[in-house]
Amino acid sequence: MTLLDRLATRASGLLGPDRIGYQEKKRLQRVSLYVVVGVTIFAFFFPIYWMLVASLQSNDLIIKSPLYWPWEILSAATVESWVRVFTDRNFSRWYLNSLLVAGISIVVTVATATLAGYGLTRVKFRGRKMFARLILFSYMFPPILLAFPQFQIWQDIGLLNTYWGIAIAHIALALPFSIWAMWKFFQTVPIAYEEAVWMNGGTRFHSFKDVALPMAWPGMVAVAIFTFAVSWNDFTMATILLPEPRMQTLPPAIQTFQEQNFVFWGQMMAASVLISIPPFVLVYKLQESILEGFKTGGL
Amino acid sequence: MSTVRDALWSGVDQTRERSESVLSRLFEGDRMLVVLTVGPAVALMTISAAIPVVWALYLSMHEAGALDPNWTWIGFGNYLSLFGSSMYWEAFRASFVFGFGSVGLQLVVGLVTALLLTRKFRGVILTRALVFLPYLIPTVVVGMIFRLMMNEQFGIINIVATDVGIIDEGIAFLGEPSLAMPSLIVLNSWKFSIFITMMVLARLQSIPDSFYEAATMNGAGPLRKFRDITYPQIRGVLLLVVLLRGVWMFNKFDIIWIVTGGGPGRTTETLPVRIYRVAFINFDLGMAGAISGTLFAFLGLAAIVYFAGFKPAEEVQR
Repeated sequence: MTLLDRLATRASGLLGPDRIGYQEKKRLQRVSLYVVVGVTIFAFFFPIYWMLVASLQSNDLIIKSPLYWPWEILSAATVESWVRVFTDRNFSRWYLNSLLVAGISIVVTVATATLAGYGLTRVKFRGRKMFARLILFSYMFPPILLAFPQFQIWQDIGLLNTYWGIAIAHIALALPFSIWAMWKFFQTVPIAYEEAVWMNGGTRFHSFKDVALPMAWPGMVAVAIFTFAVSWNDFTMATILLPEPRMQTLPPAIQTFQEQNFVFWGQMMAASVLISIPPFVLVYKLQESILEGFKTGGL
Repeated sequence: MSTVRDALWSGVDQTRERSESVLSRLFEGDRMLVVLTVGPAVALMTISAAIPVVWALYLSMHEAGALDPNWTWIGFGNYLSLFGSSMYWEAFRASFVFGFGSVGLQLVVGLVTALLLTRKFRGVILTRALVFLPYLIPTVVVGMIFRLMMNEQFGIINIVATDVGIIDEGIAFLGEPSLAMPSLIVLNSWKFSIFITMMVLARLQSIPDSFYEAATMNGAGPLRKFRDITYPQIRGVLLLVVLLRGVWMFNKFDIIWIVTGGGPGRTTETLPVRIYRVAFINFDLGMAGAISGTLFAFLGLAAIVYFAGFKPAEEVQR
């Protein structure tokens, strides 16, 4: 039987259910599932593949006739773009800027959100519901809505082009969700453990420091990763609040790879790969904590 | 030597003990505890969000240029000229097209992908990891990759399409006025569909297998299972995602500015792009404030729906 015959038999089997065996039907389902999976992987992965491919070709090749089969690329690959990213530009400085700004944002956001989460779960006070609403409302703020007035204010008080200026802007984006997540997280930390400390003569501060805080660790890790993602990703705030080239973080700095009539695609893609590495590494290393932390966050 | 070190350590110990006892005393009172824990958060949010927003609204009531330090109070004048300008309404429309288009596409792709990844097949873990990759890539990188891929002359999409013979010559996906917005929606959804996939996947995994087993026993087909079991379970997540994503996409600035800059012409100039233009290219601060004001009204409206529909504030009342 030729392939075509077999397919025809199968198709006729589909029309009349008693003519197709259970095994056949299962196999057909399996094959179609893998076809769909294959298409999905291709659609989501191809642009990433293309970023890697372009970073390994010379700029001339990219804008004339880029190679696309993996074996062609391997034989013509060059690391020129990768080297030039570092030699021709301020790339390492920008990388450092980005890491520093993310670092400040993470420390401040995690500390603030953890404290707030603890206070909000352990003390009932008036206006708590109002506070929850305000926090969630500011969670919906788009960056441009904050960045444009921030530019005016930062200019007046001298925060423009400073690490703290941009970090505060990132904190504004990350803090609402972080407070919310820690708030919910502390609700899963039983108060009974803290009461045990008090029974033994410890103060509330002791129970916070020695019991509640260690138990909140997964939530804090999740919030830290979230804040990192916000800060590392941010283009809008950095474009507006860091007009000076040397102070820029990576996302706006990438724009300098294009000039009036020319784009250094190879270098741009090499830089893009380098920017994408930290989030990959973080998420793969800390997958468990993220899931643990966001299980309760659920926003 | 050792005495010096001992003295140093005892000093450190003393300071730590003293600060601990001070903090212990402070943490004891409820009111003080709230001030100490929630206070920093309130202070930070006031500086970084509340004051800038109020500032923008105040600015919107003035005739104010960036180069002119004198602001003139004009009340709602900016808003009136805004509503009378066709540019504003075009940007408003572009925002809606981009917002609705993005959320619609992301919902379909995200949902289908989630339903696929919830099945058990060989390599599902690897597939999940590969599919999640786009979400981790910074927006600026996504914008650049697609600008390269969608280029008229050397974009890979055009090269392959011409090689295969679907088209005769390259298409300017981002330069053609009628194609720019759809292209933008597609590339934007490449990254953000995954958000919906993750949310739905998390919810799907909490549906007990026994539900489906019972349905199979009773002879339910896949469509029926989806309608009677899956859909009711994920409806809440879908609604939430549509609302929040809708707000964010309506207000999206970065990807549009990076990929098209609002062009060609002004076909992809949404309200956030307009704010940037008006504030930093035309230097008309009052007007930028007024556009921000209208975005703020839109946010407020969405917030009312959000609070009425989901009661998120009650969730933390314990």
